[in-house]
Amino acid sequence: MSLNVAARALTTNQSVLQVIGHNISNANTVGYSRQSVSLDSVTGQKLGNGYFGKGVELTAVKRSYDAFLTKQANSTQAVASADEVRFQKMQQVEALFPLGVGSLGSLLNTALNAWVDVQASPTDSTARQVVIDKADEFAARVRDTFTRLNEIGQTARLQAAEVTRTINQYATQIAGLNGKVVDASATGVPPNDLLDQRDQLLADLNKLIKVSTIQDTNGSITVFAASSQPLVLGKNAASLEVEPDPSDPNNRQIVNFLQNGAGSRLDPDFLGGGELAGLQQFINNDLNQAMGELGRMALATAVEINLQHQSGLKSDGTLGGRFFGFSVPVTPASSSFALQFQSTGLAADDYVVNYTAANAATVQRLSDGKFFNDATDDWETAATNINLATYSANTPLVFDGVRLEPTAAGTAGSQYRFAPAREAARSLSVNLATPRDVAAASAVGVTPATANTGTGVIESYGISLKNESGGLPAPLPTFNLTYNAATASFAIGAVTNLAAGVLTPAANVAYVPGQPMTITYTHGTPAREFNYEIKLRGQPATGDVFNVVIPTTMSARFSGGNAGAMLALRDRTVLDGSVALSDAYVAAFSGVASALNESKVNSQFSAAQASQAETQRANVAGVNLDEEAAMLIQYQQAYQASAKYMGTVQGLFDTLMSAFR
Amino acid sequence: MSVFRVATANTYDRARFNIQQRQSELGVSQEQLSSGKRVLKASDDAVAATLSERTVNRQSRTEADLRALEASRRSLAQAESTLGDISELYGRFQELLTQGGDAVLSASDRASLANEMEGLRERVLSFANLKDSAGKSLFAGLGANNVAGQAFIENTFAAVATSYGPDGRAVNWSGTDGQFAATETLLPQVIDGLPVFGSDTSNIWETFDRAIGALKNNTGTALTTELDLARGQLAVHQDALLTARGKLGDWLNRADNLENVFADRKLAYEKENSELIDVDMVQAISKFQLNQTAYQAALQSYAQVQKMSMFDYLR
Repeated sequence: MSLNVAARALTTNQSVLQVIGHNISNANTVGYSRQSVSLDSVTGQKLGNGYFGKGVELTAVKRSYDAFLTKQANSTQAVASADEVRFQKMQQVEALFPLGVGSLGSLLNTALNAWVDVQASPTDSTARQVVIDKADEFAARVRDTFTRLNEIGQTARLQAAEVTRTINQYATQIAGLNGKVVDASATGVPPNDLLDQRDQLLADLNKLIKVSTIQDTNGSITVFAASSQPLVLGKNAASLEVEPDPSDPNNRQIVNFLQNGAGSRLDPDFLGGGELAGLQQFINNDLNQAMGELGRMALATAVEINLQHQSGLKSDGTLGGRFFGFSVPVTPASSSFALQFQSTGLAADDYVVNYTAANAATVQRLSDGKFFNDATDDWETAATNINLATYSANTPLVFDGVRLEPTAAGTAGSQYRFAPAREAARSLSVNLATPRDVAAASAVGVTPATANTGTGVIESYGISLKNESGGLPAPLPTFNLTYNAATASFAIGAVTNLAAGVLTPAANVAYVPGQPMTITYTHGTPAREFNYEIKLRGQPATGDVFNVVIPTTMSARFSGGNAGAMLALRDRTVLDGSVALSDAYVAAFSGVASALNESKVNSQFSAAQASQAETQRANVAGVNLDEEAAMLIQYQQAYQASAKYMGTVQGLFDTLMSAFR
Repeated sequence: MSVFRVATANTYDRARFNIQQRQSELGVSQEQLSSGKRVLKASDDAVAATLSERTVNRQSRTEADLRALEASRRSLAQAESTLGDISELYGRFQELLTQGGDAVLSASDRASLANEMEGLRERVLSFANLKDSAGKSLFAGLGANNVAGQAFIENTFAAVATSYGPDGRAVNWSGTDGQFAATETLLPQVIDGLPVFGSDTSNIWETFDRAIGALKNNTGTALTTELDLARGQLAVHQDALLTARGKLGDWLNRADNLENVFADRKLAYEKENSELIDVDMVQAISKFQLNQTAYQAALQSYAQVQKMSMFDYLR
């Protein structure tokens, strides 16, 4: 019997040493959980005066595993992966929005400031050429930035598809392991290394998409993705796929959950974490936002410059054309309405016009799915049927800086989409070919009467279109302004070429030195409006006259009035009503910068959290070599002692045998 | 985090991660030092980057304003010196008028005086039509109205006999009357020539024509009367010239002031931008050294701690 005890002690201690060896060999194996052995003493046998123990036995090989810590490590890692991939992508976007001299903002300002030289020397064709070149440089950079943002988007969409494929592979592998674990567990002994493998797959899966698990009694686990979709159910795996968003196939992407051939769309908010979630966030929000901001700035710039350029005269005395070209296509092409834009209110959004009847439609924006209500001039959750019959080319429906001009009845049920900001960025170009096409001269002039006795001098004058539909009427009305010191105002008189229009104010316009006097010419049916803006300085005397005249063809060559008006555009308020045109890029840039900053901070924070959670998990489950070394000594000694004991038992036996010899 | 036991592999991983972190911090410090910029991209400091963009815009605006000011100043200085030249010609004209009244002069003497006046007349006209380097007429007011871009053009017509003889020519104003104002940032580039040289019927060239006609055709009292009249008109033109020179002088002064203002402003923007995105060298160097020490410490402690293993003591 003693021999039995000795033999048991030897084999048990050897087994423990083997487990220690297994631990040591797997110290650096990813996902390995430390294994330990439970020993038990074998219940003794009563032999007369007491119980005699029968030695030691090995009851189980267990793995150190804390389900809670593992779950925490996995879920924090999921968030960290999402934030990391988003930050990586945002850094690519960041590279397209450089700072300082090479920035889009500096190109925009250079383009606007180039008019200074045209104003200084209208006859200098080099200065005019520079205006075209600088604007072209700006437009080219906008297009280039847009193209590269698009490329980044394409890469991200491909990457999302690749990630989805890997997720599906992992799901299949986990399902396979589920089967093996169930089979192996049937014997009642936990298959530690299979469980480790499955846990490692779960950890890897969590890096791609956040999942939650439920353990079954038979040892298999059910894996849920997007909070409730069973990605793995026992031995069966479902799958995910990404596809272009049908409502915006070129820019947005959706994730579908496929089970038994049936698909359902996953709510992106429920993805929770993992690279797929980070990529979806980047593709559907961040990138579209950056593109929209870029386009919004480009569109506002183009609209303002075009309006002013069409209000000026070229060197040959004819009206200027559109300075920038851009096109905002409507898909499918519509003949029921035309689009114009204004620089204020523009948003980085996409719109859908949905005809509910021949002359009624709803207008929906895609970013939040809200509908435009023309009565409250606001976006609302409930759809508003807008009566298009009350709008026309000259009194368009205005929402978010878009001027929708109904031209013909539509067809109920037809749906039209357009993305003003993005399309403007895609297509922005300079229309002018030669320096001759630059409209530097003002279309009106102001000249003081020779007999004036006061000190009133002219600071600037000009006329501007309020919107692009229809250029300046010809001939423009002319009139004179006679000063009255008592009322500090000019009387408007000697009006010609009024052509069934009216001037507002009709009689008197108040004078403040250095402030523009605006006289609006309303003309045609339905009415279109044009603004005369005249700035004077100094103190005119009562009776002093300033004549508003049409400049001669000759003088157009030597006038830089419209170039001055172009320079004044730098301070024109655009976009959200608080941004000057020269700062339009700052608005776009700060949008990108703050998204970038957010993603950076998030990724740093979640990475730290994930690292801490992983440390906590590893501290329980990981192998500590020093510990194993200590155990090694411990069990080596135990083994040696057992061997010694066996020797002793043998010695006893030998002594006994020799006694009978 | 209360640590009862640590996992060897995870400890290595964390130590490696920390060392990489230190190394990258050292790299960032080095990059900041070598580039002299604290903010190289938007993510370095989103707020400073945005503010810097705005400041750079203002700076480029100031540079453009400065460019416009320089253009104005060049033109105005040229106009001023041209008026100085014209003033000398007026002085010579006055001498000739005085000489012409001398009773001892023969008809041929008067003719030669008239010839010299012809020359002066042409020179005053060419000065009045002088253009700046950009091709803009210096005295055209709000703009020129003819192909040549001149402020004044000479017209001829059928001679009409006047009291001082037939005169088949006139110099007409072809600019646009009016004066652009000097503003806070911009000076006018040209001056209105109409008040300087006078309007069509009473301009300086009519005075020349009157004197020349009188010298050629009149004698005695008629001549003296005409020359006195011409002298009177010339005095008015000289006054106008002086007024214009005074105005130009004032604008040129203003140009100097504006230039100082712009230069200060530009400097202020540069400073502002530098404060926003440039690196504080002292701080950067000390940070660099700190990072260097930290990196060294990380490497050394890693090497020392990870060298220790219980297996070393198993013999």
